[in-house]
Amino acid sequence: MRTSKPAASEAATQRFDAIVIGSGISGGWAAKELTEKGLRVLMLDRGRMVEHSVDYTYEGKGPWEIPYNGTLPPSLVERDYFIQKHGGGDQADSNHYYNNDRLNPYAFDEGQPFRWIRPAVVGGKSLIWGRACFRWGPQDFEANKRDGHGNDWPIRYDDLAPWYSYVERYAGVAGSKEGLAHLPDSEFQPPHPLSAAEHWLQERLAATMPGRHLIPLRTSNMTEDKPEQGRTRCQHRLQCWRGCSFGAYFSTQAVTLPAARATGRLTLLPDQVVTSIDYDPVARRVTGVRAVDANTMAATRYEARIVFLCASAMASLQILLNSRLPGSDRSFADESGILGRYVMDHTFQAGAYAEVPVPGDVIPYGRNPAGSYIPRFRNLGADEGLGFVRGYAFQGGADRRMSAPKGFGADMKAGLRTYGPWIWGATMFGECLPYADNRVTLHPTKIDRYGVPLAVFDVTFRENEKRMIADAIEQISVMLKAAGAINPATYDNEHVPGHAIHEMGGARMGRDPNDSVLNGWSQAHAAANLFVTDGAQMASSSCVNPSLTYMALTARAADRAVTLLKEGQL
Amino acid sequence: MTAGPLPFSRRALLGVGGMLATIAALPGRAWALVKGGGPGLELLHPFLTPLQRATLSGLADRILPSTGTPGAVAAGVPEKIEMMLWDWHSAAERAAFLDGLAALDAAARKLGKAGFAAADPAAQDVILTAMMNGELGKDSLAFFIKARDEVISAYYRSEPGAKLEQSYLPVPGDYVGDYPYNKIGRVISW
Repeated sequence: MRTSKPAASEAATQRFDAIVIGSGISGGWAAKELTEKGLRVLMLDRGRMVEHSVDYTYEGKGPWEIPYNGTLPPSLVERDYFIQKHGGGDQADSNHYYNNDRLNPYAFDEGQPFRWIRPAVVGGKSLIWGRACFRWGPQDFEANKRDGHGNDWPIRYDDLAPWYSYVERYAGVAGSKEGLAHLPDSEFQPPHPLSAAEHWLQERLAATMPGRHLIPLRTSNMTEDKPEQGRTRCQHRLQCWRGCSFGAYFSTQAVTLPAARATGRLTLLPDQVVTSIDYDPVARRVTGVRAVDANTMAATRYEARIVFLCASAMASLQILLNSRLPGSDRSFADESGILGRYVMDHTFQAGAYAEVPVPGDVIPYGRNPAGSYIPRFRNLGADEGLGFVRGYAFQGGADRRMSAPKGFGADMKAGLRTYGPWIWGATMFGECLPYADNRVTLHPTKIDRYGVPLAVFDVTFRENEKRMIADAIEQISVMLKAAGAINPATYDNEHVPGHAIHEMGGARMGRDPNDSVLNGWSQAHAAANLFVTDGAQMASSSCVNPSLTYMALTARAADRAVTLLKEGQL
Repeated sequence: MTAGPLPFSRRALLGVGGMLATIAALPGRAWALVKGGGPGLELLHPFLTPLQRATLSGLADRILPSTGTPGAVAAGVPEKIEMMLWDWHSAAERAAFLDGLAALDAAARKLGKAGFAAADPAAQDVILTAMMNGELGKDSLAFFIKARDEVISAYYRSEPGAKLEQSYLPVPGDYVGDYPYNKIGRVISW
């Protein structure tokens, strides 16, 4: 493995077939697919190296071995992790994977915040993601055309279906076959079992509100071993975010990096902050990638025949925006004038919880990494006249925890040996429409410590999202009451874009180079040898979790890129 | 769903074996926190006076006494709270906690005791009950709740709390969503 500093200058003198920028969910897939198809690949990541298993500092530790009772001191969090705390960056067992906000600033207008949750390690968000895996449905790829918001997707579900199957078979996805047209089944391993409370709700919901399904959450936590990959099924520890030596859930470290390394064709350089991509306007090709070493500040330029930009959606936009034509303020990738526009995230800070009267004193044994899911049920056929278009789904789970303390002393201690009631809770994930004015730009004067202009976020949720949230809160309450859950309570917290960590868009796909950045193969209109396969490419947001779609789009784009290379077209 | 299969399948055990082998192969630094502690795990900045420390110890002991399992004092809870007061809480929160300790001590002296720590358990319980019932000043109940939360949080995250008072399952193997409580008879620790 080349990870030392001399290797950076050495790599700069080498000619690679491909450079992959970023090592998260998309970057890992790009590296795996391209190396397995015979390409010599250089993978660059801004984060420090985290090796599978050996660098999972708090994996397997008991609670007595986790500092500060689990949560970092507020003074430290407010100084260095004031954004990351919204995505788990304040937790003592996983904080070391997160970005330091003080050292990595970005900008937004006062009163209109954006929460940019970023890891600071190789593997990116694949180490700390929520692991939910859903295929988009056919309606998701047709939605923009149907209701006129955004541009028409250049691809349809059938274009991606075989690639969903391809990545699912390798990554491992646990779930139940439901036969829902709008939430297509994956190539499933068996689902994680529902809890007694979820079974109770599932049965009563089916009886009282047909069409409202409660199903096991589909997750990348495997329920079957993959010995050929050295991976063991989930052991139900539910400490995924510390890293998993079983390789039970999909991460770069457990899945795609070992595969890419096994080819002998991967060079991985951590601590390389990519600042821009060089472009030849005559040849209409990208010609090199510029990076700064995060530790030494040494600048290096790398070259390859093709580039896969997978830095995570917003970081990829920042890099593209900073890749300007000679003598111009404009990015080479912004011929359409829409680069940085149509940024989206899901709404998710609304939901409900209730007590579930499960008969008998049964408890959860082990910890379920999945939970339950209520798939979208709104606007699936025609527009239902609800005052909003598109829809939302609920993700939830049930648990029993230690009883609440009463008094003190030996009696209280005895009471704390028992469990409180089953509580089921769920939060919505709502689709956000693509708006031209939800955009990321570069700051005109402020630069970060690597010399890159700060990303400036101007992203808000609007009327359609607000009406959808109101409907979601009403409907989850209706469902819980119909099912007979006890004391249902709803919540509706502040909705800040970025908080769902499903930020996407800004370099969307499209058929027309005049209103899109990429074509239907995730390939830049302006440069045939540049592919952008993370969330930046999305033209709409669906309401399901996006990572599985990024995996499929990346594998598909890699296959296309290698085909074009072999045909001499790149 | 019925009670389900026993959660100790052969495959799960194979998985555990692999896991243990992995951990055994970790370099020494991975275990450093266990042996030497460090920030957030051990008391690196003792600051309580002997009287405050004794009062805190007495308080923790009455909230979670030794029964068939170790109590808060045996589990190191007072030291953990002293660490959290200095390393984690704000100066205002720290001052409020110390005021609460002082109020306990003052209440004991009003009863003719030589301080809360020196009082017998029965007298300590009378004072704590008064604190819980809001009878020891305007911050009485708030301090009781805060102190109890701190003791509970530190105790059930301690090794004896998690392993002896609760049932510790580092690698459960399977998930069973309707496991009979009476087969364990205690709470499974996190």
